[in-house]
Amino acid sequence: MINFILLISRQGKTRLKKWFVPCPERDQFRTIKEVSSLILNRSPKVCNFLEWRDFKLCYKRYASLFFIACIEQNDNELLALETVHHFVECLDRYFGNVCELDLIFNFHKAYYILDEILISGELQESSKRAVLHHISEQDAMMQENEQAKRKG
Amino acid sequence: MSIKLRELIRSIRACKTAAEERAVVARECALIRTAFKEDDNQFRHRNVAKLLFIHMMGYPTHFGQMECLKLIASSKFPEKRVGYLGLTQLLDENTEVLMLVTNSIKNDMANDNQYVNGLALCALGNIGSNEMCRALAREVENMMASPNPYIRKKAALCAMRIVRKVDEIEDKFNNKIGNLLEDRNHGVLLAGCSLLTALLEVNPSYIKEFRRYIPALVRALRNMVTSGYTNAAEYDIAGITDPFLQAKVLRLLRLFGEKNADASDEMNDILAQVATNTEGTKNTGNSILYECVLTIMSIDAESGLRVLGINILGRFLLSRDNNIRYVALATLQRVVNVDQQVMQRHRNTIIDCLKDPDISIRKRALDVTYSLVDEANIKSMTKELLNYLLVAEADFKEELCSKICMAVEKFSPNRRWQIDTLIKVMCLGGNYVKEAQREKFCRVVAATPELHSYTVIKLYFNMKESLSQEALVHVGVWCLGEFGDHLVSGKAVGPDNQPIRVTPGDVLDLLYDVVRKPPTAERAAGTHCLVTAALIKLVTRCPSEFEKIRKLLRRFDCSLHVDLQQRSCEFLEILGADWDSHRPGILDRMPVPEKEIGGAETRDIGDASIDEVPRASRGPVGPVGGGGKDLLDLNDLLDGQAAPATGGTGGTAAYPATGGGGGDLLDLLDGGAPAAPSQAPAPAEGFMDIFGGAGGAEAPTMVAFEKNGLKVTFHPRKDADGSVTVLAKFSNSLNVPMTNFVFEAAVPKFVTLTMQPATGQILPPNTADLVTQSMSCVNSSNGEKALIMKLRIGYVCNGAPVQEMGQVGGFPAGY
Repeated sequence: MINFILLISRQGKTRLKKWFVPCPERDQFRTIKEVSSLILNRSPKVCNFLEWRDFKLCYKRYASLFFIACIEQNDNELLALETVHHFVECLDRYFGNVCELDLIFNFHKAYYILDEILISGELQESSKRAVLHHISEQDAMMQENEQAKRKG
Repeated sequence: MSIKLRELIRSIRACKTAAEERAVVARECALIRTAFKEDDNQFRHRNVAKLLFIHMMGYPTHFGQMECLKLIASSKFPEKRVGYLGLTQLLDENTEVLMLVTNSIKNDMANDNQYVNGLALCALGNIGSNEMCRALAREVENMMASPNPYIRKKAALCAMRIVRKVDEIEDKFNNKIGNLLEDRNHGVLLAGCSLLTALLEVNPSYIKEFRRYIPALVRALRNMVTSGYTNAAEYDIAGITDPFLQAKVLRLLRLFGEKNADASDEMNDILAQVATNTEGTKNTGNSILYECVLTIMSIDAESGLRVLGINILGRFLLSRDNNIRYVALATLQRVVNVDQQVMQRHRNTIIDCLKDPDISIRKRALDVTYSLVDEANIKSMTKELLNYLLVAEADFKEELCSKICMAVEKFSPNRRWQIDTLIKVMCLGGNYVKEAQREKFCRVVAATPELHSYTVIKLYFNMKESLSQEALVHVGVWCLGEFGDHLVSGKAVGPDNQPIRVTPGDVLDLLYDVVRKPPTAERAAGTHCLVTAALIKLVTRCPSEFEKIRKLLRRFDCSLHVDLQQRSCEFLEILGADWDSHRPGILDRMPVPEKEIGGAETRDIGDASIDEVPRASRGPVGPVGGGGKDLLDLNDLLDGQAAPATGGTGGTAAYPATGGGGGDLLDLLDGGAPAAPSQAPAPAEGFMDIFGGAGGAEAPTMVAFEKNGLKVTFHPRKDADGSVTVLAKFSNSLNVPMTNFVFEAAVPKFVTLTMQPATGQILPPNTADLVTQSMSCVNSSNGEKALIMKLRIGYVCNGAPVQEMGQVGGFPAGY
């Protein structure tokens, strides 16, 4: 299972963080600091995996952002990269050529999309079409509510 | 009127300094707090959203927790959505207020709208605590049978969390799993596989029961692998249909097929199909092949299938893609015990990976290499590892050194080779060899009297070459002290049959160099302590250097390092004329440790002749004297090959063998106490304790035992680390000596006892406190239970053996 997912900019700023195992806030930020400095300092030529404590960090750089998934010893590292890529593709289709700024100003939407992809650290939907369909329906519900409010 | 989320983000991004950013955040947090306090409903969800952004930047936001609960209770979808997001971000399953949300979640699970249900399930699945899981398990169970796949998949993953979290109801969902595995929706199937995997990992006894679903899983996998599958387009990634589901199924099949021939038979065909039909040019395909190989290697696969798996692994290992090579090594590590032969075939490739620029790959390769070492290849493998040690980067050397030491300890063919190799490790990476490994080396040396001469000579010349490696210098100094007599005896013969001459003055010069230039400046005091111990030992081994030794020891008697100062003062005291008669006894060889020298006891010693002495540094060559005889005798001994390397064959090893006594001692405390008779002494440390009182808190002296002229007094002292060092002093008030004196102690379970050997086993007549023995105890009850000891004392007096028992309590409180 995935223990946590992080999105870190090249400058080391957190763009998204999601823990699937209980972890106190203080430890989360400590971990983010430690993990991001480890990964930002790795050469681009080396492999995408890094052993960290009892876990493995699988990461991939997309433009200015590092997507990091922390998985357990016996998990499939290559598949973790696929999961990350799956998430990236969903973001890309939703925002239309996603960039870091989209994720900064719509960080909550990135979380909504992630919640349609992973639960409890396991993948729940492997169809991108299904993910986007459910997200757009929920977005529509948000709109309706706003409009109703304006009318009322 | 509060600003919009977008505006807040913009103003935070506009900040040029960290201080400016903090000010903006603090101002906004104050506004948000006020809004919360005024119970502002209109902008609550906007405020929580802003708080989430602030939280992500690392600022404290706990005051938003209750607001999330209020938002969740709202009937409006936008508020609920933000509320649930806040809940999963700002709280975790250990937050106390989380329990309050259980009822809202329950209501939302019963809502008409699937997305409201979805939010509730998602929250439960991500942060549900043990209590929440228990309270909502029934609702989850019902939802797993929902006609809507969107609900089914989320409910199944919630069930997975419940199975992982709550032990007692792990089987609650068992009868629902079958339906999930036969579902047509991939999301539901995926969730079903995850749930089953979690269940089988939590409790493997269910594996048998669920084997009946193997055909369903095989069918699902076959559908995805076969071309023309109706859903292929929807789940296609780089030409592979749903790699996620394929990998999940393969992992489940692995659990089913392990150690079961029938189950393995059922999956042989499909595994072969996956292994041959999956294209390994992209990451997606490789992720499936990787999972497939792991399954093939774990189950009772047909030989043809296994060959297929091994070939894929070989291809992975030779790949130019670093990720693939990494997983190849990770796989090898996991299947190392399955097929040693295959592993050995790839040995050279694996060893090449040790030189990879990527630390992840190097680490994996080192682990695999280590598990490849066995009796047959230890020599060649160690050579490779040593070659690598020469060029490895600093941060990798420590792990490498410890792996080599471990391998050598486990598989070395004989003592001679073991000592040689360890010296080589210390010459190459001596600054990275851990304390424990150095200690082990010393024990091995001490336990092999036949190689004392060889080892000390070898270490001496290696130290003359270079004093830069700390471990080499430390063990070298210790050995010079212990076995310096062999070095200066002139009896040893070099490779060309010339005796090796080292004068006592040479030895002193070398120690002087060590003092002047310790290998690591910041730990110089530790080195100096070892040198002082070596110096005092050399007093009896090189009597001619008495004055030089005294002069060198004087250097430290004003040292600012307390330990060092104390040692040198004590040692200088021993040099006084009062101690002339006792000195040889005090400065005798360290007793040979009886255990913990690894499997080395049963090994051959190996050749003790010296074959490599650095030419330049060899001492003056003298004529072959009668001294050569000694070594000849030694060779005779070795030729027989029967020389068992038991500890303490030398007449000087004066420690009584209490190996058999350990069992008896256990009886003293109803078999429950961890008997610690004669723990092997740590080099040099025992010395410090002999003279007691190194800066700890000393308690009053206690009389532990007094009978028939024998008196034992205890001098307990609490050390800074909480352990208690007890110095036992023995007095004999009779007119006859007590010989073969053995003092043993046993303690209850909550105490760990380490005993140093006694300073002697003869109590001369009418002497007090001449012989001492130091013990250290760690009381793990944190002072709740009082320290107590049972004693057993044995000695021979007037030719008659005496056996005494005793009990000691009344240690000061907190000991």
